Amino acid sequence: MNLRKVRTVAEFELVSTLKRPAYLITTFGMPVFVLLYAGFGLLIAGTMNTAESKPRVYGIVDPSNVLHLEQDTVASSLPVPAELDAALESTGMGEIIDQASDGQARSTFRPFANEDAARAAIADAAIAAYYRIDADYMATGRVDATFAPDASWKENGARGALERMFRERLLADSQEPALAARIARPIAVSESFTFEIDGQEVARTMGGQIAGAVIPIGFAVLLFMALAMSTSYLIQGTAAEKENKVVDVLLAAAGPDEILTGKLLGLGIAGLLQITVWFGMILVAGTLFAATIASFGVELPWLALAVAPLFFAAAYFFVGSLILGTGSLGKNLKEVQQFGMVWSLLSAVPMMFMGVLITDPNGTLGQVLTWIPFSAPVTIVLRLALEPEGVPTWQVAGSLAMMVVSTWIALKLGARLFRVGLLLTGTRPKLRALLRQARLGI
Amino acid sequence: MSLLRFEHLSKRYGDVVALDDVSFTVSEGEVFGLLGPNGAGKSTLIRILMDIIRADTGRIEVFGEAHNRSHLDRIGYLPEERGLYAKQKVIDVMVYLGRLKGLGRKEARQRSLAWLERFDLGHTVRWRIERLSKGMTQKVQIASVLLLEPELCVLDEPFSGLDPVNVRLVETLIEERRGRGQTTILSTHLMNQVETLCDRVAMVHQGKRVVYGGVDEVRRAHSLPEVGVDTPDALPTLAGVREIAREGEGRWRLHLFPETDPQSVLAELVRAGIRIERFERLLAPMADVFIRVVEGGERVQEAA
Repeated sequence: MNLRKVRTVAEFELVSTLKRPAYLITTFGMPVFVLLYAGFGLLIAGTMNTAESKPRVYGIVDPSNVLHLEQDTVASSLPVPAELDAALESTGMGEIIDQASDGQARSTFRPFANEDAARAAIADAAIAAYYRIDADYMATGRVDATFAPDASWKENGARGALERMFRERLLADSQEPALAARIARPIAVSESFTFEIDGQEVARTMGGQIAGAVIPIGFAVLLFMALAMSTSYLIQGTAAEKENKVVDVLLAAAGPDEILTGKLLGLGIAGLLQITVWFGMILVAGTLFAATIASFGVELPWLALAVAPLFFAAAYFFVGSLILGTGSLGKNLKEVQQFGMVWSLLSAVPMMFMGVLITDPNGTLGQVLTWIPFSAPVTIVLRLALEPEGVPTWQVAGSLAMMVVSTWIALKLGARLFRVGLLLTGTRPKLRALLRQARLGI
Repeated sequence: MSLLRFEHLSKRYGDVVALDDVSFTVSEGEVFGLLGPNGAGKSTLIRILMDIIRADTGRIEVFGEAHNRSHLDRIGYLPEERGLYAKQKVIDVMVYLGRLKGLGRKEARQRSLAWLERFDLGHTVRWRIERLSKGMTQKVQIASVLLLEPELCVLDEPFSGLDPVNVRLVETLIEERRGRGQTTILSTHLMNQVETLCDRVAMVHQGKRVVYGGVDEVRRAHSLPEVGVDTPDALPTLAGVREIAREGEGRWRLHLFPETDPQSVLAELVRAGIRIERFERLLAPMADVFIRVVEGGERVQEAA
């Protein structure tokens, strides 16, 4: 293989890709889009927050007199673990979470003598809705809700808060106060610990649990996305060459293996640059939310971060070779995409089993997927991010070695198919003929 | 001295025989015509030379050595099925193709600019390929090949899509290459260009080499035994002449018997006191040779 030609092809592909408007939009536009999207979401949430910062008042018509309401009563808020509450408050997210929990923290219940009075209050916009408790509530348990005619689709009342109020009042009437309090909140105080392999017990925070799952998943998704994006450039490039009829000129100047390797390198670097930009923006965002991350006590999956580039490179070359090889058999962009898509889908297998892998990263499925070239990169990175102590070093090394061997085979096979595929015009030969041509040259 | 030698090349695509034991040589510094009807096997032969596809049997010798990929940097190639990256700029594509053939970036750029000027395309340097007309694209493609100044240049239908002015320009460039001792293989269906440009030709038909030799030799070998005579005198009956046809005022076409030597006819005319203004052996145009071989399906006696 002539490395100078490989470099020339790689440079051309890289520069061509970097100049593409679509690439620039994806690279710089996607994070901007995400930021804008997040900003828009926050704006909406803020608007909702402002709109709903006014007390939400719900009417109660209670002929059964179970609730004993004589004046406006503020419902108790949802129980939230203290550490999560502190973390949420440190990020200023408390208000938004309150919104998400039906605005129950601010629900106020106002008694009305009858439904006519409650309807009049709705007409005056004094209440958002009213609940009519059945006169024979103890026997039927029936509570109907009536909303204002202009109630929005997201208006779902204060059912949760009302149920808690029912529970407290019913228990207060029939049980000892201490027992009633326990029944209302069976687990009032709780701390979680993780029993480590080394025998130590460490505190396990809910925020940490959430972040501990989100970061590896996000990392695996990012790795998969990067692979998908990079390989899509390969597909587009191959289709363009077939459609532009530059194949003969190219093959007369460089061998198929040189062209294939150059393309893989050039477009791979373009993909890496894209990831670098994305990661950079994530880091910027990360520093902005440093307080939140610190409050969760989360450690970044350093081991996964360290091996990810190696596995990314191997996965990219492995899948990319196959995509180029088979994709080149297509006659146009549509067919090239169809033929290349098979390999992309196989690479998505770990994403399909994400639930199982998160629950038991080092279980049978995780072990099996570690040794399949299509699924190994995402699986091993996910395992290392979730439970690094359960991944023996030999498995990481062995999986990487398997990826290297698979990639070498894929490169060779891809180059042969690439030569056959690039030259195909008119009727496509049958599979047997293709394989014969790939083996013998055509 | 032979620069390129095809020896017993054969190639099949499934049941279809594309090349059947084809052998010929191309000499250094000549313009060699590779002829044949569509689907005859010309492109297959060229693609084998460019190592785009492989022959089933046979060998190629080029530059005095067994053919290998390192020779490709010394061979320029304008394929029949050609195109350029539509979204790229003219200069970027030319530099890329030049670099793939071994030129340095700076040299490739300088040569590209010079050749664009030569083709009167200096103003299109920064244009995207898709903005060029068909003829302009064709010229950029030819310039991309010639900027390599290859020792051997293979041009497959270089005149298609060109106006007469640019046809003349390309003809001139080919002649200049011959003047510099560089070799050109020209694959074309334009037989008048073959007659004016080519030194020797090979014609492939149904995968076989059916014609091979110098252009005049081939024409002579495939011509009928005829001579043209211009004279103000009336022609007498001549020995060895089957028929005398008057083609115009003072212009005659003499159909000879196959065994008749034209020189004996000339001698007889002189003896008869005929004032001869022109006497020439009439050679079949290459177009007639082509049609005769293809339509007749004959395996023509080769000239060399």
